[in-house]
Amino acid sequence: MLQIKDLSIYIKGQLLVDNISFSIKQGEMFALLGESGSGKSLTALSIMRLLPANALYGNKSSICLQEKELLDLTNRQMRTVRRQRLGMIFQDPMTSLNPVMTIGKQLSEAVQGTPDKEELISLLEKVKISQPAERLNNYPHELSGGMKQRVIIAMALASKPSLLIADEPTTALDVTTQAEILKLLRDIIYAENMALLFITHDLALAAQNADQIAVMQKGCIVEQAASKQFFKSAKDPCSKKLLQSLPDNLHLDLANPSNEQILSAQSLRVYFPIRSGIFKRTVGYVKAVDEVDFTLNKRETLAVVGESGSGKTTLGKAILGLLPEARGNISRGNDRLQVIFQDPFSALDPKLRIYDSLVEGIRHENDKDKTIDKLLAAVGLPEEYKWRFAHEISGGERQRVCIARALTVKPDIIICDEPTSSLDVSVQAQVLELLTKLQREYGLTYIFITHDISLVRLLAHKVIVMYKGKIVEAGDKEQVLNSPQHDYTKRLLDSVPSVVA
Amino acid sequence: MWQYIFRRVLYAIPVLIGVNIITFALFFMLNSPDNIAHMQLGSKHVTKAEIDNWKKTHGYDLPLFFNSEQHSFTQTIFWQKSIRLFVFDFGVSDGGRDIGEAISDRYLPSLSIAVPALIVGLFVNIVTAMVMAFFRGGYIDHWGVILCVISMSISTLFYIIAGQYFVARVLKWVPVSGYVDGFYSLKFIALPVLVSVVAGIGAGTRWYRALFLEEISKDYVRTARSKGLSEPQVLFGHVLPNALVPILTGVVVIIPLLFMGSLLLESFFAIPGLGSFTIDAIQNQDFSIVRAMVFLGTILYIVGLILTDISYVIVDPRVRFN
Amino acid sequence: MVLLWTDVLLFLLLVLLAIAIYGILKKPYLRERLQDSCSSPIRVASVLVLTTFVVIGVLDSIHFRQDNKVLSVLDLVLLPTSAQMESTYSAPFATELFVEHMEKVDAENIVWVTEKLIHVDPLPVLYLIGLGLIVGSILGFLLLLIAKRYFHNINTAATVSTYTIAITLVTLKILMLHYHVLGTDKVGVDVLYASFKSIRTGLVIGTVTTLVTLPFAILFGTLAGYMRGWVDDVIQYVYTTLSSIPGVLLIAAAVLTLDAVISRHDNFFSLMAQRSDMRTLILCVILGLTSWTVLCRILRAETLKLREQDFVLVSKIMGANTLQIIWRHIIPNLAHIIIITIALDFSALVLAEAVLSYVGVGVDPSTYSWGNMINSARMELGREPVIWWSLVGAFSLMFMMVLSANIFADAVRDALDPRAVSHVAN
Repeated sequence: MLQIKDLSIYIKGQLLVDNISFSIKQGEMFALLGESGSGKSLTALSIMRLLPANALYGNKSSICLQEKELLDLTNRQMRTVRRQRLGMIFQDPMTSLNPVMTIGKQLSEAVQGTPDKEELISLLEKVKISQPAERLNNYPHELSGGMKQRVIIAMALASKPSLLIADEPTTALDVTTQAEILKLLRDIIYAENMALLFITHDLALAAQNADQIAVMQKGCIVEQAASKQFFKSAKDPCSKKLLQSLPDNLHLDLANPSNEQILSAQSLRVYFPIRSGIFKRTVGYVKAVDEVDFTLNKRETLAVVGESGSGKTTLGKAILGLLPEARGNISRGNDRLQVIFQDPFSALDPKLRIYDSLVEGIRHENDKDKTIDKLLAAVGLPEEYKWRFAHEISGGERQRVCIARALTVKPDIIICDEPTSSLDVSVQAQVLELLTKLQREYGLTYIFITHDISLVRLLAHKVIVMYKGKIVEAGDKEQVLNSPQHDYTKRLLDSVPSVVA
Repeated sequence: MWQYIFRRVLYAIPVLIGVNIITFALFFMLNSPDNIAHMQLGSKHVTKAEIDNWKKTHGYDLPLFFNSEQHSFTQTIFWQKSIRLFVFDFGVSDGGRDIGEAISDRYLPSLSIAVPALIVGLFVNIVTAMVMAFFRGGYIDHWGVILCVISMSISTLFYIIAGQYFVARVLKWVPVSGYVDGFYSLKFIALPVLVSVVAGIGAGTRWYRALFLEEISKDYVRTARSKGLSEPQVLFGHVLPNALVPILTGVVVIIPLLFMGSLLLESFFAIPGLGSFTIDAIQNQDFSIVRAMVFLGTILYIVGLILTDISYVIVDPRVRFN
Repeated sequence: MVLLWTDVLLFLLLVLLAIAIYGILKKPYLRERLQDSCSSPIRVASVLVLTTFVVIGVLDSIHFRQDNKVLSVLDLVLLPTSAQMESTYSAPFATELFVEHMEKVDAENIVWVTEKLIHVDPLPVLYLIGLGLIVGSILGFLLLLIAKRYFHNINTAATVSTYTIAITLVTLKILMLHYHVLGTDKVGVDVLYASFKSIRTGLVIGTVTTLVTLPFAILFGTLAGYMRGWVDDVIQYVYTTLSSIPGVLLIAAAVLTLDAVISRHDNFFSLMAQRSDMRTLILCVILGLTSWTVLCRILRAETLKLREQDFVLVSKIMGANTLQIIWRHIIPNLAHIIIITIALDFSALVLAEAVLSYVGVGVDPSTYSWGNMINSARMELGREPVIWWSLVGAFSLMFMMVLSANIFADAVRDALDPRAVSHVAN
């Protein structure tokens, strides 16, 4: 149905997509897999012809949709194709809907002609939105992220397109929602006999859902195969590396925890007041963390698992002592705490050199330069990096700098708040290896906050599962993962895509 | 909603008290009533008796904060000149006129210039900015921006003087200045409005264009395009309603201030409005009028802020009262 | 030497500016972006024009005393024009006064005669322009020769602009030796000379005002945004109150009262120039005190965002106190906003000076300023034939300075604003 031949894309003279070819058959789910910057999103946009204004197609490029060459069409003809034959789903449902227009109006724009209410309702029913009639009058901000993504899918489906393009449709969503949305997409494709181009960075997601897989790297397709084939016998070194970096295929040498208790919390609570009325009286509380207890031994890793809004990050901040609202008991003795954050962009001051960022923690030492060199070596970075600015190094390197900075104060406990979730899988694997290596060498204790339960299997000793501010399940890793008691834990485990499964 | 407005009005009271204290300090602490009398009476050879007489007739003979003779706070300059502003009792100007009366006589001519200038200006700016955003990156846009920067760099005074010279003196299309009530005021209003629109076009268009371009770069516009909508549909259906949120709320805040009129336009075109009233007062150093106008302007600005917050709720579904 | 207050502040600012530029040039990636955004011909030209204005303003800020009068280096450069006056109006390049006056021949007959101008030496204009071209080109060549030692990439635009500016200035100087190029005003002062003298006033108002604004805006903005709580409440209350008063009225009220205070302490100033300088300074202070709220609000909002950034949290965990965090992490990350605001405010302030002079709360009437020139010239617009040259002189120089400042501000913003989507095409 869709044939792409020799597609090249230049932006400002830079070759970003290099001569790629692939084709998608009707009723097929085709996954285009690649790490950030590999050119996969550009490829998606180029099919829609929605590339930024400064982008150029290469000379020999050809995109054929049902025997029609899209690159030869006029803008007006292309609009008709977009309207009738193509549908696209974007990564971030939060920003992809017009905030000042009702769902109903935005949906009706996608339908040809002037649709009546029943038609719109049936579209929303198709994507399994509850109370569809009411939703038509809602504005986007009144819906949850998953619901918004369903609305966008409904819009993409409205004109019964032959090809659906989904650009990382679930990256911004929680794991449980992600599983539901993907199941929905798969069901619709097969029911309506459409084709789906599924752009993703997540190998496991592609493995579980796609029929065909193409791996992109630096603008080229390095390997293309049927999904089952691919996971059995990937040939290209790049795809092999991707496969090996998957948490399921990784193995880390964990440290042996001692019996010495280093940190404990009893009935820890963080209630944020809700104020309202003329004098801003407190009318209620948001219970971000509610009656949380745990203990932690030296050299142990405690994983805190939960989805967004479960209170896991607030818990981390409360332990660090950053929240005046926190109540309850934390006994941490004289142990020093440090933190590594999710977003390495925000974690390093953009105006400081790496050296200045690191030196902030080294106060009472004579040879600061030597300490910095030693720490950089410990996290696997060359010495000369200390003179760089944060924007001059890559995301993974930035996270290594953050780890080095945490080590400057010789901490006993490091709280890792989703330290790898903004990194590519291959980089994630390296950072995780680094973390466990440092744990063994420096005798560190970790609190590892994550939404990704597959990482728990990899590096945790103990787990607590949080849901709406409360601990719903806690215990040793094996116990929680192998025989979950609580419904939510089961659901979480079920939603995790796995290559092995 | 009423609760919200009530709360906003409540918040405004401390601000008004603050403004009152600032103006009081400016006008009465830095200069004593004797200095004011000296300034008003002008020449250096005024007798003590003349000064006392002036102070008595203008109510400056009272003590500043507390009248120890009468044991009252009300028989003081602070009470008579400042507190009474709160009930819109503006008192008498240093020149002897009733300020409240002057305000009620003069706000209509002010509005007859300011309102059409605002509406026409807004319309022209939005349309030109829309055209430039439609042709973004092209020649029209490129030269449009350059023209905007040039027009921003020209003094308002130039627009007024040049407009008056060419349109009124050389072409003789409209009178140079003046004002009458009723329908014939149109010919007196046309030129000031035109000048005001032309003078504002550069900055306005450039700002609105920037707003439009910012909206155009957002994700929902890409979604709209992927639905197969045409460029005008995207611009008018999606970009404009979103960009109107900052535009409208930026306009709402100045609507109450339109009552105050424009100092420059009214003075150049001899419009008997509040703007020329203010400028005359400044030039005659009439402190009473300036003080009254400061207070009035502040109240109108605060009303504008409250209206802005309300208009946010109306135009942007994401914002709720509270 | 006479040091006026505004001179001191202007030089202080120049030093700060030099430090800022040095700081930018030291950082390779900033230098690259600045060069990138300044590479278009229009921007190169505007930077050079602006530099010329600054140089003229600085020459006019080096004051000394001579025969109980305060003169500046610019006055020396513009001798003899600066020392000579006609009796009243004369048109550009005229040889006699603009106004005729009556002269009685005898009891019955009156003739209207026009007086010859005293300080005009009517050589052919074309000849003078030719001379200007030659001398100007030589000067331009020398300037470029010097510039090449310090800058490696002098492009066509820079070369052309340098020649144009050099030729224009030299030609004007030569013409001024022989004519009143833009005529004379009511009291007989050369209009072009007055326009050049006004540059300094514009510069002072545009820059010193910002200098007054910055400490308030930065200190209060960052404190309110970072500390939150009651500090935030108090600071917000102060700036809401101040910004609630319509700007012109607050400025007018403040200038009027302070004026009265100055006139009471007249004997405090030994020189006329010091008194009018004090009035300019007070105007700057008042403008600054009424306008810091805008920048303060922006900085507070940005600080609110920055304090949630992880690097600030990390610094806090490492034990840094509030002032250390503000100094080390917040202010450096606000620097681009501050610099952009300074650049954008400059032209607005230069334009505001003219309006304030018209309203009657501008600089002292004895100070040369474009506002004062316009204010006194507009009275004569009703006259036939019209006297236009004062307006042309004031408006055109003001326009050139504001336009080049505006274009430069855009270049600065494009270079420093991380999210600049190049709103500007030029």
